[in-house]
Amino acid sequence: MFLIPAILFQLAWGWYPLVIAFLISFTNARPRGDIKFDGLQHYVRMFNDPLVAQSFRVTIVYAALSIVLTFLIPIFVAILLMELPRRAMRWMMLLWFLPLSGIASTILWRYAYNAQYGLLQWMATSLGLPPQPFLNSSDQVLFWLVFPGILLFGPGLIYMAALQGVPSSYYEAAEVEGASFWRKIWTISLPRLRPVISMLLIFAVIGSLQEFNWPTIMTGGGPGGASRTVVMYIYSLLRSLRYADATALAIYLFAATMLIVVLGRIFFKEDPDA
Amino acid sequence: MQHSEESTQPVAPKSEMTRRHFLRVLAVGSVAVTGGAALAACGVGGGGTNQAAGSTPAVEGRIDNAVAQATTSVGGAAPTAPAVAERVDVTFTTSGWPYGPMPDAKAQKDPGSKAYAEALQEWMDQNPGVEIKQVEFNVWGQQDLVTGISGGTAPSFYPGNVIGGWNDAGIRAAMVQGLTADVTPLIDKYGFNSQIADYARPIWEKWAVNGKYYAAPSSYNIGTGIHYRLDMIKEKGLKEPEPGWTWSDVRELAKGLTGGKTKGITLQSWGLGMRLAANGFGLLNQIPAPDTGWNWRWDYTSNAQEWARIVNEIRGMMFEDKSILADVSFGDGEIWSAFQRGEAAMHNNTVVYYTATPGGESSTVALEKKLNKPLEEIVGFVQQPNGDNGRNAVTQAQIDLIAFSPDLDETALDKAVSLHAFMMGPGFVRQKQAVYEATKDLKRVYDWANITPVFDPTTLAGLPGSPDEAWGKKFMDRVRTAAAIPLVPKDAWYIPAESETGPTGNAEEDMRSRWFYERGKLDVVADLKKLEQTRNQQAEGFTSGVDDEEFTTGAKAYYQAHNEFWQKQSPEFYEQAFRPWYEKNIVPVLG
Repeated sequence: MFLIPAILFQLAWGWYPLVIAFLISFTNARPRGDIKFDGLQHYVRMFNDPLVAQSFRVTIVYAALSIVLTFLIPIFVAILLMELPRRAMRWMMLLWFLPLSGIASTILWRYAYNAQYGLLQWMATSLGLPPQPFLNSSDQVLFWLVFPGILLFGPGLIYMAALQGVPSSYYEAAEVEGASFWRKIWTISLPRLRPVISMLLIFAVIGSLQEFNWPTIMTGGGPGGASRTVVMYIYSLLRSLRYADATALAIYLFAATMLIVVLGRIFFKEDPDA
Repeated sequence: MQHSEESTQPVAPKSEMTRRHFLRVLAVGSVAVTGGAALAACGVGGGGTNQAAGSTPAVEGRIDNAVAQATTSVGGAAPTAPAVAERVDVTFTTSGWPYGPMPDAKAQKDPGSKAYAEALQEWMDQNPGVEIKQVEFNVWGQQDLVTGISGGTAPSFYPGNVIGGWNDAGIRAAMVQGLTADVTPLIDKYGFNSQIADYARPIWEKWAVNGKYYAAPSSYNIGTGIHYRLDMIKEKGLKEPEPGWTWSDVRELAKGLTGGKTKGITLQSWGLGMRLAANGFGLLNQIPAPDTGWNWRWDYTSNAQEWARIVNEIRGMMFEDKSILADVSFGDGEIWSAFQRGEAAMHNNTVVYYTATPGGESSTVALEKKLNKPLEEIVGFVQQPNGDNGRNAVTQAQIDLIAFSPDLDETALDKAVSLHAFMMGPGFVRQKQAVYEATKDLKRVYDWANITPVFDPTTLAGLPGSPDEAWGKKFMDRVRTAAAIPLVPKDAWYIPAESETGPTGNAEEDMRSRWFYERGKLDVVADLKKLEQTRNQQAEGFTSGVDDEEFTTGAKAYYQAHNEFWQKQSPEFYEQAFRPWYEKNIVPVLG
């Protein structure tokens, strides 16, 4: 009985819109006026649209970079930070907890990346490097979009909290057995982090596949569509009043995300003792 | 303010209206004064390939004559008040644009708000029973608007251009889909067609969609052009731009102005679009194909060498001359700021940037105070450069629209249009008189698009001063010259509007941004081939809702209009580019 409100909420705000969206994708989806059934027309149209394939490629590369740089790196950083004295560790955690508006920091980074007079360009030229294109290069734009995420440390705080729960006797016993620093990480820290990593990995995958804010604010999808993610293209279709096409593409994205998550769950088992 | 070049329809709204549009919309409104100066909507820059057809009467002399005839001293005789209408109970909801609710006593301490209150009260006295309520709503967000209209919660008035993403094809599709009310009989009833200014009439008439009007005119401006720092040009002994200049002149001037921390010109990627459009890009790429589902195909490869040459010319400015200040993250705000700070000596934008309301640090007028010189000695404006194949008429005027909620019943709709007509006429004059009384600054009277009011200025008795007195004769001469540019034929005026917007403009925008920002060597010809493939592949997924015969008839008339237009307007472009293309691609298909 006590679950009913949560279930109703989930049905109303989660499942109902999903089902309606799915149905809309089979119609001509007008904001006003008669709606008629179109069958699979919009799915076929999106399947054949070269920009859809391009946006999926961009999204997958973005997700991969994001997972590697902002998800995996914090694991090792968190482990290394655990070696710091407690006071220093608390100060580091405090700094990372400082509230930052997502949009405001995106705009700041946009100015930092400015190829004419941005801070990073100044740093590059001060180091004797030639002027860098940063966001103006289709080869580099995705890296630079992901880069600020590294500095934000992402899930590192959660890893540190999980590591603090590992009994110190495990490490002591390992030291007695003659285990090296890296051996202890591999046999104790990482297995203990596995449930946390597994859960956060799912969120990271879902989040990065649905990325919209950063590329929209920083590049608008350019240059040449090199930073236009699937969700950005969905937005572009909505702006063109192509609601059914946008919904069909969203269903494709949903299916791709579910597939990746399911595969991840199959190949990445949580149980550290498995 | 949307500045993307106008592609030929039925291309869907450009994705430039995302991040950039958020920055571009500078709290504009129409003539309603809610806190001081009257603002006017800025809108899509012209300069593309297609706009209205037909000959435009010479209007060079008309703007100044019209305004001169209308000017009287402040407090001139008010027009005779019309009879009081029968009382009806109507409530409008408004986000504040373009007309807010009656300002309270505290707000009316501001002269502008007081003037608005008086004007609104005058109309309400003539129309008893009408109430205006404020609601929280973002009328500048396309998705917000469409969602609100679908759900019946949109305000009574909203910017007509927003619902279609500031793109002609999108706006027309939105109208056909019923996102705005049909106001056809009311347009005549309230005198929009009879009172509209001569310079605005040709373009306003073309806003009839499938024979009906789904919006009213809100503001008019002459479109985009180049704003330049005249003081820097004179300092370096360079030649000031004149109407009729070309992109070669732009390159030379930009190079001459580049030095120290200043670049010759600052542009966004649509600036490359303007350069391409100046040689006919857009018009010469879209071919009617009535034997296909969507009726259109794209051809970027037949003339690929020419387009590549132009692209490489701009890339030369960017990477060899280093005379362009640009970054993929730049929006209108950054462009304008760079110009204000002297980091760029020219920028490409709508004319209303010149006439932005004085007072803010970012207004062009702020440079007067900063440099201690009259504005006309610091900043100049000139229409878009011509192509090097003789194509001109690149700067194209535009009209911004006010749309009315399709949920308004007949009575409410009548009152809504009546209010708008009043506020464009006597209400406008009242408020401008009050602004002048309070500030004695004609620049605030004729700010933004008010240098060219929608209604014929000869019908607006009582306007103080004139735009010439406000902004200088030289600038207004340039405005008049640009207003006199005939409107290029637009397919939307001959071919019935589609209810679906078709392929988005993303593919073309992608290539423009790639060509504009990407360093290193690019194979532009290969890019054009890829662009062609992409657009045609996208088009294959659409079926036109327009009858084939109707399409063919309309397309024939459209291209015939172009044939006549370019023969007369740009004989060199006609002979060099248009006629061979027309005979090869259009005549065999349409007959």
